[in-house]
Amino acid sequence: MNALLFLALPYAAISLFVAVTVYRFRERPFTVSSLSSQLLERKRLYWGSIPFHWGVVLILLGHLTALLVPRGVIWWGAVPLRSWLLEGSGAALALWALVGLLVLLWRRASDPRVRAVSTGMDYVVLLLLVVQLASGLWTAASYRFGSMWFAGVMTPYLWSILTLRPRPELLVDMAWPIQLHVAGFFVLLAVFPFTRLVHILTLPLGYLVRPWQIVVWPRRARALRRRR
Amino acid sequence: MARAATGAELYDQHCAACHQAGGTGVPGVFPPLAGNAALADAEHVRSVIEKGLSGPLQVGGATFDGSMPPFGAQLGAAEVQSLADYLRSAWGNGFAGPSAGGGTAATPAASTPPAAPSTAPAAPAGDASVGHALFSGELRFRNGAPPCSACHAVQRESPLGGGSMGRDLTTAYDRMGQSTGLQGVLKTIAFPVMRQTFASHPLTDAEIADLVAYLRETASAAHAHGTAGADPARFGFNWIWLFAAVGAPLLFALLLIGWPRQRESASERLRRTGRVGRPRR
Repeated sequence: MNALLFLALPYAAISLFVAVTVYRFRERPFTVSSLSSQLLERKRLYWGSIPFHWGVVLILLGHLTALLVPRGVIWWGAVPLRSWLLEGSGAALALWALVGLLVLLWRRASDPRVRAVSTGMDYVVLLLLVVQLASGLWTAASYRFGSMWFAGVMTPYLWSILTLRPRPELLVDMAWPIQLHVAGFFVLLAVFPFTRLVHILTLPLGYLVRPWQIVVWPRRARALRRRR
Repeated sequence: MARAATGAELYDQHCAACHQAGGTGVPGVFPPLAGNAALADAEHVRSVIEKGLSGPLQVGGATFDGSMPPFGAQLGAAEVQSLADYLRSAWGNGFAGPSAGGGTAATPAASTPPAAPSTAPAAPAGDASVGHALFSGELRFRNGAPPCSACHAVQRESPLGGGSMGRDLTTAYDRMGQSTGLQGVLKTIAFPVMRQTFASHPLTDAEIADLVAYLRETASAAHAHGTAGADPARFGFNWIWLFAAVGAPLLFALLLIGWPRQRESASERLRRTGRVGRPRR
């Protein structure tokens, strides 16, 4: 079971993620989108999408930090109050994101216009994310301090997977909510290329490094306004 | 039956930390009690509980090299008896007959050596303040193991409590057989979760001595303040939920700043009024 969840699943998920994402970008480039439904419904989207996206992005950055600079995270946690601040902020963001996600789920299921453009996979993604946020929040609250032991256990585990020297045994004794959270991540990675999650890759980071542009209007705006 | 329940409670309290909740033990260090033939000898069981037992010893063909402290001082004769009865009948152990109350048939256990009085090796004197720094993570373990505080709490380390993945270690010094036992436990770390991580990142002897000194200090401080028996949950009101319950509504309140900009769109107005232009005043 351990080998299945934390050895076979990760590599199957990574393979699917890479292969199908490349295929989709090459063969179906115009489907790489989340197919926004903002035109169809905006109010509930505001209270769902913004909390969900900001919460999840910040939390993922936290996970990434622990993956890249585990020693820094452990240094931060050496003072318990700092651990509480970090974990408490993470929990607040997680609950914010989770409530936002439930708003999104409610909106998609109840608004007839949004429901009409929804696919089965949209619901699958939403439900998987509910499981992921709930198990993560539960882990943070019940198995403190996640930030610290992530650096000690999860960072070596994830690097062992990425460097092809897998050590799934690192997770064998973990409590089930934690195992659910880790396996859930790999499931999300596996369905990534088949769903609206691909829109993550369209983050326009290119704007940060592209050459600047001058925008030239044909008429000056102020003059236009005066004339009116 | 009431007696067996008492035995089960005693087991959870004193034995389960090492021998595990299901009596499965921990490979290499703490022998299993479920299906352990040595439990056939009631006198031997009582003797081990009272006087402790140090390895190496053989159980079921496997070798265990741990150190169990004597519990004779903490448990009364009746408690030792009910604990022994419980061990010999729990987890499918069929050693306790109907007359198990009074030290019955003693079958010598060939597989287990008799309880040897544990001869403590001269313990290197540890520095409790260094131990504290190692525990919290201020000082790194030389072989790269994560700090104790990642998963464990100690009373008064923080007013909010500490790590909760592992057990509260305030009185681990007493629970794990004081210096000798604790050294053994930390030398070959075999607890669930820890065994995987620490196998490749063992603690050095000096680090172990420092940690033992620190945990001795926390235990005696807890005794001095009369909090040794305190339920760890007393310190463990889960502040995480409070953070989340306060923080998430605040973050939602923050969204109100942008809400007025989410005014009615042209398409919404069109659907509502049937015309594109702004409604006439």
